[in-house]
Amino acid sequence: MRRLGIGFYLLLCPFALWLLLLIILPHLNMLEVSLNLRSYTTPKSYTFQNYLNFFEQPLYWNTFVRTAWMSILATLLTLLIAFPMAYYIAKLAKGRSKTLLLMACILPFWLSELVRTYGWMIILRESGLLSGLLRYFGIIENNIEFLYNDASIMLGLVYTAMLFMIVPLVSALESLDDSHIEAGYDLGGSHWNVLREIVIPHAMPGIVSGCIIVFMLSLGNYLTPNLIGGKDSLWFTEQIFTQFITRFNWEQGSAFGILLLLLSSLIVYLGLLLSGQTLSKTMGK
Amino acid sequence: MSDVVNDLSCNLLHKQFDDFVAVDKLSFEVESGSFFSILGPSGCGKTTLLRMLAGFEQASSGDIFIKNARVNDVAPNHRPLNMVFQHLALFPNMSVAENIAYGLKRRKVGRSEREQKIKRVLQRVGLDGSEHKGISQLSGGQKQRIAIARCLVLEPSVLLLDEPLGALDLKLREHMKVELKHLQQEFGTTFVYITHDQSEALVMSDKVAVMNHGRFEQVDTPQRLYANPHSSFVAKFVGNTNVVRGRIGDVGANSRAKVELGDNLSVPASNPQDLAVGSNVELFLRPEAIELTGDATASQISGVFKELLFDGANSTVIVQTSVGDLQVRLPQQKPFELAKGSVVYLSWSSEQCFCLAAENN
Repeated sequence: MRRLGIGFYLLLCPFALWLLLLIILPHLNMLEVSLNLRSYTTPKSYTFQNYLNFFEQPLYWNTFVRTAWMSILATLLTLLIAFPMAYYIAKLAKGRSKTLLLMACILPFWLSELVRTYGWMIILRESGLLSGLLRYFGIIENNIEFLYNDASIMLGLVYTAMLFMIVPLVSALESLDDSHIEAGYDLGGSHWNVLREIVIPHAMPGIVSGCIIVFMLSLGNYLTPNLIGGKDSLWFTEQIFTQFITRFNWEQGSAFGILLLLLSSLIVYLGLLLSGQTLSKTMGK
Repeated sequence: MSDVVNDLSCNLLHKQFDDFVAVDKLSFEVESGSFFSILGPSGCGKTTLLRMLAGFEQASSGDIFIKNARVNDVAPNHRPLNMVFQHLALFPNMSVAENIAYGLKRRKVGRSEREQKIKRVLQRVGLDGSEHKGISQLSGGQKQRIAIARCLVLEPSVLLLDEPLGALDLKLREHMKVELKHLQQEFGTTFVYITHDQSEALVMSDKVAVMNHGRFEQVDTPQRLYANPHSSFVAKFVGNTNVVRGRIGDVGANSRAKVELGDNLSVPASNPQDLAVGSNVELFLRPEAIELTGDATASQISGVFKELLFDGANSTVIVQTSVGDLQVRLPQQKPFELAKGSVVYLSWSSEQCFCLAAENN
């Protein structure tokens, strides 16, 4: 076997450092902190109490379940909205309009997420654009607060995640040969048949990788639920923030962080099993 | 419309893209159970024509009839014809059986009947037992046969084939030509085959339409197309031929003419278009119609042996003459000693030499 030269190790170096210093070490450290018993009197000792708290306190557990469900719903909604858009961009739009449409999807992401979220707040707040417009057209009499509810959180999550669904879908659909779609029709298939038997199976790796990214982004999102949903939006990342910053309970916060990592990985794993895909198939292309 | 039921006929079919005419007021009929080829160079409109027949392209004007029923407004999935695509378009996520079952399921054929039909059609294309193979496990020729089986299992009135042999290597293509013809004869389905390869069209077809600039230049049997082309384009496109420009010097009875080729050389030729004296013509001479001879008196023209293109039974000799280089087919009846630069004499019978009005370019 050929020995790997110094060039290989030099190229590997940034990646290995990044993985070790920014991913592995902090997580190991967090794992260690999460197993510490929080006490000011006894010397340092290890316990599972921080993890047990999660399962014993209904608030923590329910917040997590709510966050997971909302994220799954946001993922499905994003997929439903993004699929026709991606299909149009990949298959129907030609030349310049294709580039323009893709640009239009990417353009909002040139702004920071914070600015975009404040944009939505300007539209949705009680004295905001939407409320004002509805009043102007006489549809409502008094201003309505559109912020601080689950629907507005969902709106924010779907909006934030849209691009990360469209891009993998467009690239998956672009690789589908038009003649396969035509052959589907030629052999007597209806629109629905062709979509279900030919287009979706082909786009499946793109669908799954888009869903994984969107789900992870939603689950770990802090800004959108907090700003659009308000302080009582019960998002799991807020619980972690509260433990670390407000209550200064780093042990509990670390345990929540580790749990979020494990539980979200489990959900992604179940999703892959359900759709019959593998991680290497969806990410490896 | 005539009384005979034709599987497919078109009446003044026209397709215009902005200011480009792809298919120009085309009228033709395809007899039931025949192998009909549309032969033309790329860009002649043959693909547009096929896509209009399949329903993927709307005609600008004119009618398409399948079994005397007008189908212009029928969606592709409801037309009684099927198409074998250029790259076959077999569904890669399905097995062989699932590919063939796709169309049957759309027709709500029951499971047991479906399995029988799949088994039978696989037998007929000579691939029985490969139901559960994946598409990627098949060879090029097998894929071809599955693509055809997938269509024929639906018993369409017409099968459209869009240059399906283009992607195969030469050896397999030669083999598939014969096989496609046999499949067509066995199933008795009307095949409409488009290609730019004249040899495919000639070998397989009952009738060939030579297409150019959106029109059919000639619709005829392969034999007549080769022997009696109606236009200079057809003569050049079908088969190999020597072309010499000239002018009609004299006309005789029975569509005979003397063609002046310059330098006081004039040769007798048939003049099927009955062109008048003085017309600019192109003289066509098939390489196999020319004989190399050592006898100067019996020959029409002399030349210098320039090059031998050896290709077994298809070997040709290039002879440099006063009217340009001529291709002559080898082997000849008589053995012939050839050395580069030696003088040779060419002769041909005037029946095998014909002139047609020169193309404008």
